[in-house]
Amino acid sequence: MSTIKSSAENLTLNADGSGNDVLIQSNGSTKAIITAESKVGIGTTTPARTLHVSDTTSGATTGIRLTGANNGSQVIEFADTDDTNVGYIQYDHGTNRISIRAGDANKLNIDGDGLKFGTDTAAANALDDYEEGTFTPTITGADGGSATHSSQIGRYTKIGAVVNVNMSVGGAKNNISGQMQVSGLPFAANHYHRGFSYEHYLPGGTALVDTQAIIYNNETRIRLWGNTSANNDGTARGLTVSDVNSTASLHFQLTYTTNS
Amino acid sequence: MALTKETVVDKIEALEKGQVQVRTATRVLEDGVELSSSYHRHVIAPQVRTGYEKDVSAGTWAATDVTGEDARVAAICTASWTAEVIAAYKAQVIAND
Repeated sequence: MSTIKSSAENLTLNADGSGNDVLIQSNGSTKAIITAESKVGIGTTTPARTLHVSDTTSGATTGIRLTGANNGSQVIEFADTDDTNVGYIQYDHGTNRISIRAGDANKLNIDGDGLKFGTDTAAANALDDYEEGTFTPTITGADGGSATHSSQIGRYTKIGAVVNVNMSVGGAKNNISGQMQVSGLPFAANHYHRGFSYEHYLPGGTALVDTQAIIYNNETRIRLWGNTSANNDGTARGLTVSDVNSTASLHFQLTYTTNS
Repeated sequence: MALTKETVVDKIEALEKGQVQVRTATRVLEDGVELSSSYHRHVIAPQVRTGYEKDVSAGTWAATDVTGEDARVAAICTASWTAEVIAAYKAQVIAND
């Protein structure tokens, strides 16, 4: 092993002269460079930034590791001439939380609960899920039976505990018995949700002037109400199979919450 | 370059009242690398109501048929649907009505 050593004074590697770089080589090739423009390259001889780390091997993971105590933290600070940490990305091993600071204020935290904003640390306020998908709604009767469906379209977007649903379902009433309902929501609701309106098409059936729907607690079904002009005083009147001549088309845009 | 499509149950959640929430992922892969995926969800209740009856013990309920469900889903349904859980589910539905 060969060593360049200076014990009594500073050690200078000097590529003297305009435009000369300092190269560190191994096994016949340059592994790192300090350019005359004060840029450091590792794995590249043409660093584009002040520090440029490169490994273009197919499938390689290129990275920078910051190692500290298990109760310490690591930070990458974004400073300017006025502020030494106007922005940063910090990992705190005590709380196992990564924090993002911008505009000299903490804006975002990610920990085991999920995503939290500002200085909020409450688990209940963490945003922990986003999901899009489809489901298959069905028209059923509260006393049993199911429609013969001609269309069943259900789409959902779940953001945290909030589920946004867009669905259309239609078909012949078949053997439906009792009050009509739509089953098949993608997540069980975590409490009652009332006050939904829905679009309906009941050719030859009862003319409704007001429609309302309820999602039940701990269930995935929607119960339907439909008032006629004769009873349009706000009194709940169940939409029953007798309101349907032969077919029904129902359309919903609604939002509810879940514990999932 | 081989394109393949796979459909798998990738999430199963057993809820307190007995419902089992199932997420099915459909993935399109090229040489084993995922190009796209989409989700479809359904929820399986432990019982199906076949008639309106306020009495939990009345014979207006039927056990949900899990034939055709993914084997793991069916196994979790079977394990979850104890007599106590079924009773709690029925009570919840009746209370809701």
